[in-house]
Amino acid sequence: MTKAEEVAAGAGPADAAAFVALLDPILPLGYRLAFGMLRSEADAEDAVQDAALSAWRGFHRFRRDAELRPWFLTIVANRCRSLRRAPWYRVLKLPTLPSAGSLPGEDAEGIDLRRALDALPHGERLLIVLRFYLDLSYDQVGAVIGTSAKAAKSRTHRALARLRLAPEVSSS
Amino acid sequence: VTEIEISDRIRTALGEAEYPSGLSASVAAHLARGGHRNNSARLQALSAAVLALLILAAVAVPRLARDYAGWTSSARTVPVALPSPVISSPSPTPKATPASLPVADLEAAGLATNAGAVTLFDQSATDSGYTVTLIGLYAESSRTIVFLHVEPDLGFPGPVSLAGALDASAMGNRGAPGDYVYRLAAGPRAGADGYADVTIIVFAHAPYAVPKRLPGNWVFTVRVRVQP
Repeated sequence: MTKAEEVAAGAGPADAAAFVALLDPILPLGYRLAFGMLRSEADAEDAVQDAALSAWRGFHRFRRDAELRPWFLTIVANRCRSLRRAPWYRVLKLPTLPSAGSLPGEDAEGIDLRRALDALPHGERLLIVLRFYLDLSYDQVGAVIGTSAKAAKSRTHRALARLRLAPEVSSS
Repeated sequence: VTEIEISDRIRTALGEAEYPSGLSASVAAHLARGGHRNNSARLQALSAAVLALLILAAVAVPRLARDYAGWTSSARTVPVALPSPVISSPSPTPKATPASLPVADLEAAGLATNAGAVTLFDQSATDSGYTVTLIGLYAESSRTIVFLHVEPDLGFPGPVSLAGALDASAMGNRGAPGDYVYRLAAGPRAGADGYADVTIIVFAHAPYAVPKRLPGNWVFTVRVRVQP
């Protein structure tokens, strides 16, 4: 029985500490995903915290043979989508995102790419972030979005085409 | 463009954020505050929702029922359909004409000492669920006195007018219960035989006991002897 299975078997309020210990190694990756999606440190922290709470509340539904990391990243991604959909986020948060020139090594191409990323739908943006910002394999990307590696790769390339970044070499 | 180059560009565009050192602790605290949503928590949420619905129903249902009852009762008393007067026939009704009018009616008309001059009728007209009966008529060349009985007795019908006489409408006086006496300042023109055909019109009825006036017309055409 894995650690996750042990926690899942005895899930209850007293096991929160054990759940946090289980989740702790994944939190940095979840935070990076949230930051890549939201581009705000504060929002990324909130998203990870909310995702952790959601994961804890839904832990009884966690399949014991599943991997904890893609499951948690899926929850983080859903939380980020909810945040970006909120009207107050579009009204208040987007103007506060890092502006042109605020990032190190910023150039016109970087600004254009960031704007293009912002304009992508959530699903395509998620693929780009998972693959190129978190450096996950297509197998792992597929596990997060709930598709096969092949489908994940195909969708990622479509998203890249929309960014006008057609890859010459595809590695898995 | 290779995937490595794409990755570099994406990283540059999105920037890097350092993992907050206190995030793990804050997540643990967040979980401790939020707890684990078990079945009892769901039951509590469901119970709260049901309770809210019950409170809403307790407040709203009686009010809706009251409004509905008021609507239906007003619909019964004030029909919205256009009036369709039932005009009485000029011919004598099958009902037996009463032998005389109540004394109270004659006193209200100032005819207590001249009761024989009043022609008795028993002609009814019904409109808007309200029946007006012409029970007597006294006619001179300069005035007409109309005796009406109303059923149900909700108050004064009228005003009452004499057809063809411009200044002959009037409000009434009470007589016997359910009876009303109207003095009209105009009289019919008698024929050679001393009789005249008279049309009495009772206009829209606005009794005191009904909040809205009852639309309708109650019309009586009778032949009456004109007193000299």
